[in-house]
Amino acid sequence: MSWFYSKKVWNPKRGDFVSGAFEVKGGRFSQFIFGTLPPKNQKWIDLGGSHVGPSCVDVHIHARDFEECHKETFETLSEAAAKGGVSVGACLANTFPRMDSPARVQEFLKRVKNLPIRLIPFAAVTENLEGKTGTNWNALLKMPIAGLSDDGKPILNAEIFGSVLKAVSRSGKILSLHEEDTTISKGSLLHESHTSCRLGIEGSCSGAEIDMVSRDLEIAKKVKDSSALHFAHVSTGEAVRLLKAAKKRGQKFSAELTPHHGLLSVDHAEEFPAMKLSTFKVCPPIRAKEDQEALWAGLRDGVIDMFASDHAPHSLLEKTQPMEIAAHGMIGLEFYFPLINEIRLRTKLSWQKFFEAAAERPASRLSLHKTRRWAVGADASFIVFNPTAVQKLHWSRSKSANTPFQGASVRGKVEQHWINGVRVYGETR
Amino acid sequence: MPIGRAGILSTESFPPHELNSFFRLVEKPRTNRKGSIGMLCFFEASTRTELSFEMAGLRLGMAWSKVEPSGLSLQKGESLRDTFQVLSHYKPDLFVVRHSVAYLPHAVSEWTGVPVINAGDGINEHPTQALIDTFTLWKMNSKKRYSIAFFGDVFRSRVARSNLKIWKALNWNVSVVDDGSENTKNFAKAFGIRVIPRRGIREADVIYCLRVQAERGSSYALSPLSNSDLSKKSKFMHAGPVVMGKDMLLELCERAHPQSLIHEQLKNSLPVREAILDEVLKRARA
Repeated sequence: MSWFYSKKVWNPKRGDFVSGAFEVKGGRFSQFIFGTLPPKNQKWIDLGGSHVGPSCVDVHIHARDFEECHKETFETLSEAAAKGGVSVGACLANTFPRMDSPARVQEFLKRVKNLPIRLIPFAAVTENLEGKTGTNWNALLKMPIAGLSDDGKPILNAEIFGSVLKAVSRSGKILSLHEEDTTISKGSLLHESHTSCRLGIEGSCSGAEIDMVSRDLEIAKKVKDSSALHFAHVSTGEAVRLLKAAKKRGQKFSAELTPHHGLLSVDHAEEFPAMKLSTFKVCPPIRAKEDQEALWAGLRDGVIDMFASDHAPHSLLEKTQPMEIAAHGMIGLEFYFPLINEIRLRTKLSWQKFFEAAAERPASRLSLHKTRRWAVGADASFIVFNPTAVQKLHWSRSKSANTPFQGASVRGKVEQHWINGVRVYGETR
Repeated sequence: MPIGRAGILSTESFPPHELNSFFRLVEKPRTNRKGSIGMLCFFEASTRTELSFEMAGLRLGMAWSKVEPSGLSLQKGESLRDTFQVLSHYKPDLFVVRHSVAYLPHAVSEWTGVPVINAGDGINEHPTQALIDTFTLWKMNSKKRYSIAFFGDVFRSRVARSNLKIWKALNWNVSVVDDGSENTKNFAKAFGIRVIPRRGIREADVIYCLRVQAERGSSYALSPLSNSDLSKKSKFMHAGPVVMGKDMLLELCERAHPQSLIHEQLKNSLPVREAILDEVLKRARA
C-alpha cells in the first residue's frame, strides 16, 4: 500500500490536472483525494510538479517473437512499451508462426504471462493470412484475445469479410481491418505524389484505401450488428470523410491514428538520403499534407477515436534495401507517449480527448473498461510525465531501430511508468 | 560529389562547373586501366549501355566479368543483397548495374563498398545516358542555354529524370509536350517544368523523343514524331532504342537526317563512358 502525491494529478471531472493524492492498494487505486496532501500519518511518494495520468493502451503492435527474434522479442517489446508509457498492447496475428489456431494463441498467452506489460493477441481471420480459408473463428473468439485481424493484409474476399464481421460482432471483440486494395496499391512503396514522381518511385494511390473502406462500410450496413468494425491506421482524408458520414448514419466502429500518419506527410521522404528512404516505407504509405490535416480533423471530432502505434520492428538487414525490396513498417513504442503528445499539441486536442484516445477508448475496445479506468477500484497503471519537455529521440529499447523519428525532437517525456502499482520505468526522486 | 568513391548513382546535384571539367576530360586522352576488372550486371535488356560500357572498358585496357542474371543463385532464392556481397568478394574494381528496382545501384554501393555505375534503375535514373546527351549538346555549343522539349512518356522515363536534374542545374529551359495524361502533368509540376502543346515544340532548340516504356506499362498517347513537328532550327534526340514508326516516323530515322542528333549521341557514348570509367577508377583509388 502506498500513497502518491503530485501538484498535477489528472482529474477527469475537472478535465484538468490538479494537486492531489491517490492511494494504491493491491495494485489498484483505492482512493483519490484532490486539493490536498495525503493523510498525515501516511508515508507517500512525492511526484513533485510532474503530471500524472493514465498510461496508454495500444491496440496495434506487431510482435516478432516467436521466429523473428532478431527483430524483437517479447522482452524488448515490453521494455520499449514500458518506456513509451504503454501498459496494455494488442498484438497482430502476422507473427511467424501465424496466430491462426487456438494452440498458437495458447502458446502466445503462456509466453507473455510474466511480462510487466500486458499483451493480448489478435488471431488471424484466415489461415496463414492468405485471405482464402477462414480460421476456427468460434473457438478463437472464446479465447482471451483482442479479436480477429489479418492486418498486414486486407480481407479482399467480401464474403469472408461479411461473415467474419458478424461472428466477431456477436463476440463483443474487434475486427481490425487493414484497408488496402492490393490490386491497385502497387506495393504501397510511397504515396502517389510529386515526391514519388521526383524520387522515381511508382506511387501508391489513395484509392487503394478508400475503395476498401467504402466497400466495408457498405457491407457492414447490411449486417445487423457490425460493432466489431475497427479501421486500423487510417491514412487518407477521403477515408476520414467516409467514416464521418458513416458515423452520422449511426454506424458503429472505431478507428486509429498512428504517430507516423499524424506527424508526417509524404514530402518528408525527400529529406532522407537514397539508402534511408526505406525508413519511410510503411503500409499504408504516409500521405499528403491535406490527408494529414484531415486526419487531425478526424481526431478532433472523434471520427478517429484512438491512437495506435503500429509498432513494426525490422532489422537493419531488412531495411537497408531499395524501397521496392525493403520491409514495410516502423517502430513506435519506445516514444509512444511523446509522439502522440506531440500530435495532441499540434492538433490542440483537449486533455480529456487525448486520454480518451490514448487510454480509455482502446481499453474499452479490448473489454478492459472496468479495470482500466481513472477511478477507484481500477488498475493502478499511470504515467508520470512532463508534457512540454523537448527531447531528442534516441531509440534504443527495441531490438530494431527502423523509424523516421530517429533523432527527431518532440515534446513530452515519460518520467515514470507504473503498472498495477509497480514501477516499470523511471526513477523515483 | 556526383562521380565519387561510390561511383555514379545519380545526376542529382551535379554542379555545373564540375560538369564542364568532366566534359573537358572526355576530350582528353585517358589513363591505361590495364589490370582493372569490372563486373557488368545487367538485369534488364540492353544493347547500347551494356556494350558501350564493355567496349569503353576494353579500350581502356580493362577486363570485364559479365554477370548473367539467369545463371545466378537468385533463381534459388538468394537475395540481391547476398548476391552482390558474394560478388564483391571476387574483388571487382567496379560494378555496372542495371535493374528494374529503383535505387538498387545505391544499395549495391552501400552493401559492398564497391563503386557502382548506375546503368538504369527502374523509372528512377540513367545518369550516364544523361551525361552523354548533355555532352552532345555541350559539344555543339558549350555556352548555349538550350531550350529542350521532351516528347513522350516522361513519367516512366529514367532518361528524362537524369537529364532533367542536370538541365535544371544548368538553368536550361525544359518543357514537355502535353500527351493528355495526368502522369505527364504531375511530372511537370513535380519538376517545375512547363507543359506545352505539341505545336509548341517548334520553338524548342531540341526535341528529346522518349521511347514508350511498354515494359513499364506505358502506352502511346502521341502520334509519332515527324518532320512536320520540326522547325528549321530544331534538332532532335533519342536515347534509343527507337521504336520506328511508333516513337518517330521512319523519315526521322535516316542516319543522315540533318536535324538528328541520334548519331552524335551514339558516337559520344563511347568517349563519355570511357571517361566515366576512368574517373570512377581514379576516384575509387584516391
